[in-house]
Amino acid sequence: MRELEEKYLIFIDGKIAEHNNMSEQYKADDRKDEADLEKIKVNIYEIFRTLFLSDIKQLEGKDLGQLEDINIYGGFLIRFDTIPANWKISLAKAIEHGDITKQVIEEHKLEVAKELKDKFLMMFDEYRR
Amino acid sequence: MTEDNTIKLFKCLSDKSRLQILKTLIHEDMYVELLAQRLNLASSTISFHLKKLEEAGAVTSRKEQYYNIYSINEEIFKSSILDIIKEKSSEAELQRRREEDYRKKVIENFFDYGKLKNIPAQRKKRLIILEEIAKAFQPDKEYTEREVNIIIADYHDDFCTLRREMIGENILSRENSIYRLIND
Repeated sequence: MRELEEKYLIFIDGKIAEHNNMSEQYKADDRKDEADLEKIKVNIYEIFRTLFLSDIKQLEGKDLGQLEDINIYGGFLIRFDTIPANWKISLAKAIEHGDITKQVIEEHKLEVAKELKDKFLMMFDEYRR
Repeated sequence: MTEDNTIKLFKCLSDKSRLQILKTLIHEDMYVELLAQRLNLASSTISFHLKKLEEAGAVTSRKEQYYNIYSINEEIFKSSILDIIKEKSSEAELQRRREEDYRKKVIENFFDYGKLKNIPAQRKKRLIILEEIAKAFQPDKEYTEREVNIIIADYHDDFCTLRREMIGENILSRENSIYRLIND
C-alpha cells in the first residue's frame, strides 16, 4: 500500500474514532438524537473506507508509475458523485416538504462525503509535491 | 391529552438538548439562530430538535418577517402527570391504536411525500394503500373514468391497475362508466 493510501485510511479511522467518541459522549449526556446523528456520520465514513479499500485492492500489483495522475483513483473519486446522488435527491425532497429531520440527516451525510473527497484531493496534491 | 400524545411528549422531553431549548424559550421567544448561539449548538441541530418539540406540541412557531419565532406551549405543561396516569386505556382503544400504527407504518413505507413508490403485493397492505388514495375522492360525487385516472395518476403511473383494484375492493363503484366512492 502506498503512503498516500495509508495516510488516507489513518485519517478516516481517526474520524470514525472521533465521531464514535462524540456519539458516546452525547449518549452519556442524554442527547440521544445527537448521538444518533454522530452514528450516521460514522456509517458514512465506514462506507467510504470499505469502498476505498476495495478500490485500492484492485490497483495492487499494477505499475502505476510515479503516482502523478489522479485518474489512478478515478474509480474511487467517482463514488463521491454516484453514492451521494440519492442523498441529494432525498435532501431536495425533504426541503421541498419541510421535513427538517430528514433534511438534517441528509445534510450530515453529504457533509461527510464532501469532507472525505476534499481531504483525499488535498492529500493527493500534497503527496505529489 | 391522549396516551399517544403523552408518550410522544415524554419521549421528546427525555433529551438534554431539547430540555435546554425549552429552558431558554421559557424566558423569551426566539428564532433558530439565536437559540443556536445561546446553546452553542449548530442551527441545523436546533431546527432538528424544534421540529420534534413542535410535533409533540411542546412549542409553537409563528412567522415574523424573515424569521420563524418559537414559543413554549405552556398549556401542554399544565397537565398534571397524575391526571395522565389516571386516564384509562380500553382494550378497544388499544386495538384501534395498534391498527392505526400498522396503517401508518404501511403508508410511510409505500408512500414517499405523497407518491406511491410501488403497489404492495400483500392484499392487506394494498387495501390500506387504496383506502389512502380514496381520500382524494369526494363522497357522493360522480367521476368519469378520465377524472378517476387523473386523480390516481397523481399517486402512481399505473392508474389502470389501481383503478381496477379500487373497484374490486369495493372502494369505488362503476355504473355506466361513472365512478362513485362507496361510503362505508
